[in-house]
Amino acid sequence: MLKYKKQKRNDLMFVTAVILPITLLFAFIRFVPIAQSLITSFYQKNLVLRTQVFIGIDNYKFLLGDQFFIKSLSNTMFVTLFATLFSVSIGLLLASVVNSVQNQFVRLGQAILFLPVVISMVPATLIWKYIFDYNFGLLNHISGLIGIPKSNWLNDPNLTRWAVIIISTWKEIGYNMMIFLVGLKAIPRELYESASLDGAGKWHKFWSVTFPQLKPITLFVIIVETIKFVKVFTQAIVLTTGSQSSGEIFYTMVYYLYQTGFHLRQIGLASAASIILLLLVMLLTWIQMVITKER
Amino acid sequence: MKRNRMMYERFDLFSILGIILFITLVLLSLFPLLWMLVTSFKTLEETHSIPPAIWPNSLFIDNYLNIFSDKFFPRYFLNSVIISVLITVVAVGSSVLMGYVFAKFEFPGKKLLFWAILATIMIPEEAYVVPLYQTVSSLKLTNSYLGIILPSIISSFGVFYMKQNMESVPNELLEAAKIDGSGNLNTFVKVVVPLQISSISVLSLLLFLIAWSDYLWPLIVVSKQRMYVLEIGLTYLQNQYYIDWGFVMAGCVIAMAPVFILFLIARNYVMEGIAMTGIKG
Amino acid sequence: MKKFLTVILALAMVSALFAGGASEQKEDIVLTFWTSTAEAVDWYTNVVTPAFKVKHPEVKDVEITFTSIEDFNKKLPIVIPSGEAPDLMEMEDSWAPQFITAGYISPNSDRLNNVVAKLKPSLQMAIEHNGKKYGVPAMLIHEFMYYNKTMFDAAGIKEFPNTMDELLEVAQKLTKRDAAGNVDISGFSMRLGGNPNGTFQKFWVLALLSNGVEMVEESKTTPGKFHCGFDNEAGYNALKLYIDMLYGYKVDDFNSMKDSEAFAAGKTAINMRESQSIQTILELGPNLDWRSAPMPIGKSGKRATFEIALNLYVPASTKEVNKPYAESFIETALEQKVQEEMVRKAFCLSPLAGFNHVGLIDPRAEVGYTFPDDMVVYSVPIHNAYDAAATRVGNALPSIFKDASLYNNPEGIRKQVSYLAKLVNDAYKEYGEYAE
Repeated sequence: MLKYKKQKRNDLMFVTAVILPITLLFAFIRFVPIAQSLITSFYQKNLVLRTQVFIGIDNYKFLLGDQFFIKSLSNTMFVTLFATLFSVSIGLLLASVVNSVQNQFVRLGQAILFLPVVISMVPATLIWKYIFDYNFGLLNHISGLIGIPKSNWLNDPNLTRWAVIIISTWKEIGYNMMIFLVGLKAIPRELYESASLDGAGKWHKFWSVTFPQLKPITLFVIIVETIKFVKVFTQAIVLTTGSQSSGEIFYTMVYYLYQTGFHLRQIGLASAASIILLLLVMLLTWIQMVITKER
Repeated sequence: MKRNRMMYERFDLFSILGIILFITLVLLSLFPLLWMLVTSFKTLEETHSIPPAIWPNSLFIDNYLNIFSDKFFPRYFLNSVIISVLITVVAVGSSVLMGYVFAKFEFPGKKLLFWAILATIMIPEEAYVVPLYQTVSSLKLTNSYLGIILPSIISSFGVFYMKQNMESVPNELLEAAKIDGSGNLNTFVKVVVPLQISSISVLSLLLFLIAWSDYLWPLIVVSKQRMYVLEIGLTYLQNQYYIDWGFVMAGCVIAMAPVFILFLIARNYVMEGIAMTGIKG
Repeated sequence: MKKFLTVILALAMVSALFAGGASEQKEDIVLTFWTSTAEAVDWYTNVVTPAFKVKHPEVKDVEITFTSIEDFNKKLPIVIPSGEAPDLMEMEDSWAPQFITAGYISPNSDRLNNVVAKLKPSLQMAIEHNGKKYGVPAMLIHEFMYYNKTMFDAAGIKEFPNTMDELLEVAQKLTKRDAAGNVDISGFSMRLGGNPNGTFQKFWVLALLSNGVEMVEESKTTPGKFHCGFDNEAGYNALKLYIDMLYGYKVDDFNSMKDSEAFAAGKTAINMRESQSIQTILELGPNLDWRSAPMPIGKSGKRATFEIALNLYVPASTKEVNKPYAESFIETALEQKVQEEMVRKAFCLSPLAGFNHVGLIDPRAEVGYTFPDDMVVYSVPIHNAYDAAATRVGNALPSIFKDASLYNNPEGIRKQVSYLAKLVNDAYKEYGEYAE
């Protein structure tokens, strides 16, 4: 009994020693600025002029009626949906391959797959921009050879969103592959062996052993990728601005935030937009967590 | 023996499709980057020629020389290294500890705190960078390493990642350690961490990458050129009216190199991490 | 041992953290200067600074920090209100109004106004706000036309068109299409998308100014307040111009190569740009046979262009000790010889009154940068709302241009003009600068 109580006390000390300082730091560098942002969202505030007028939820009302905000929202959600879907599933598939085939070619391939992750977004997008270019791009060159008419990747919003999805997915699959790989390697071999003994085939083993064991990691990857794609900005801007751009800019939530907050200096409105984004992402995450738990 | 069995076991239609996908994606990852490398050796005329030239006439290394010979370049590079290393060390350490506590301990308000921490990555940097700057500026930390690393030394992403990974640590092992009289910290260092070498390596790599490529905060908090990080410093050397592709790509190659090397190191720990500790999962 | 190492590591880390901070002693005089004009950095560093240092050997250094325009845009509004301004900064005039109104930039001292007195009268007026002058223009840009002489000769066109209507006809004639019907060589390179401020700027000079209207006009009932200046027939003609160019005369489309790069590559016959474009042409199209011309006469009956200045400002927060040096730096930048170097290196025009650019810039640009007598020169007004309004219009324009149904559709065009006017008025209302 005494030992148990001592254990509990030790546990409490350990937990406090870890949680307290780190939480305080979190509070200082995240919670407090975000709370300040939330408060600002109820004001009409200009960054430079420093005027500040309390307007309640007027910012939120404006946003919900602003066609550019709505467009940003729908673009962002579209990209997030498909980019998450593709990058997570492809990442998992790649990790399975790397995990099961152990030779040097696969090792080399794995390293190559990680290259897109380490290249920064601006140059990565510039490379793809060139590939998507209407006049000189590789894609239109190839389609010209096959006889398909040229595609307007950069000027047609319906296609541009796919370009953004392609770039975003391309950049993430190596990363997801690594995370899934760690998860796959953590699955004890005994589980597979005992399933084999029970006469389970490959598919069945995947569903009964791999998938459940990977749940925490899968949930992690889905949530993290969703959060990451929701913040899509750089690739959209690099693709649709520049001297050769003649389409509309591909509006995303973060671009809207950036233009409203820094360019137009309406920090109140920008804060409101970011709070809406936050609520949306929290909703998505919660849904994902619920779905995974039910499975 | 076991390895061979595994290899044969998995060769069927599914595997073949998987391998085809693998090869396709490897090529898809390789091609744009090869193009980047090739372009970095091109002259200005070659990058703007119509139709575009595929191979440079000769290895034009001026793009690289111009970057290396810039008097600030070593400084930018050093800044990035110092900042990224500092951030990674602190962020990984705190994430591992926090992840462990969240995964294996109970305390009041745990769920709320976890959600709160998770929520902080759901909101983009742009949203809170202004109040954060005002705070950092009032502490007179602008243009200092401390000021630059401060917002990044704790990673919500890292906490979340380690928590998910720590869940796979068998509770029996922890119980056994307790019974053996091991204190919490000791258990953590001697039992838990070795089990998580793979995930810690991956996390270090990923946090380093995030720190290395962070743009917005270093941009705002730094106004002295000698404190610029590499990403920002490279944009200094460009012209506004047209893109010198060769130069841009050379800059990218240089910026990519350290992280990629780190990846190769970390990868070993991931692939062999389990084997190194002698414990199977 | 481990503990010892940990402590050492910790100490090393902590000292490294503070190392990056200020390392100058109090007695040294160091001027900090921020700019976002890439092509001028060379001039500031290698011409202005040495000339300045010769006068003031006691100055330890002039720290010039360059930030790209997009980054500057993110940085300035956050950094300056927090008190982190440099001793001296260079900004495009359209950025300054809010900083001026908020008091971060003080009115010019007498010393600075003495420098201003040497500048073109139009500029002296442009930097005036509420009776005081703010900043000193150091570089000047205005818009003019570049054209491909080879293409003109081949089509038998001897002179650059005098009026906008003639321009449209010439451009139509020179447009070449490929087999699929897409524009291969545009007759006139149009700015149809991309960065909203740039899109608006081109629309402003090509469409609005040539029709004699600006984005805003002063209220007759309440002087000092403004409302949209193009919610009228002239505005209708302005938007109609773009629509006609795209769908009537068909001088360009959405997929062609554009702007200076296209001009240098021989993919457009006429390009409207500032003098810095010469740099691009020389680099990317050294063998191109090109000429320049001033803006043609618009429906207003006059030629119109804008004059945008890159101004040097001494922020209000500059220490008293550094102020005279900052002002001296500005004086140096505006000296005749120093300005000559600026023109050579940065390809911008000089704000000095009566400055002779001949011999300093490619002679082919001379016709373009010289203002004929009937040229009306517009500047960006110092209104808090101006940039916001321009951005909002710039956001809206690309999708309007894409709408082919607006061709031969006066009602449709008027509707869009009203929509754009509302955007402008709303922006001005936001800043309290609106009146009927």
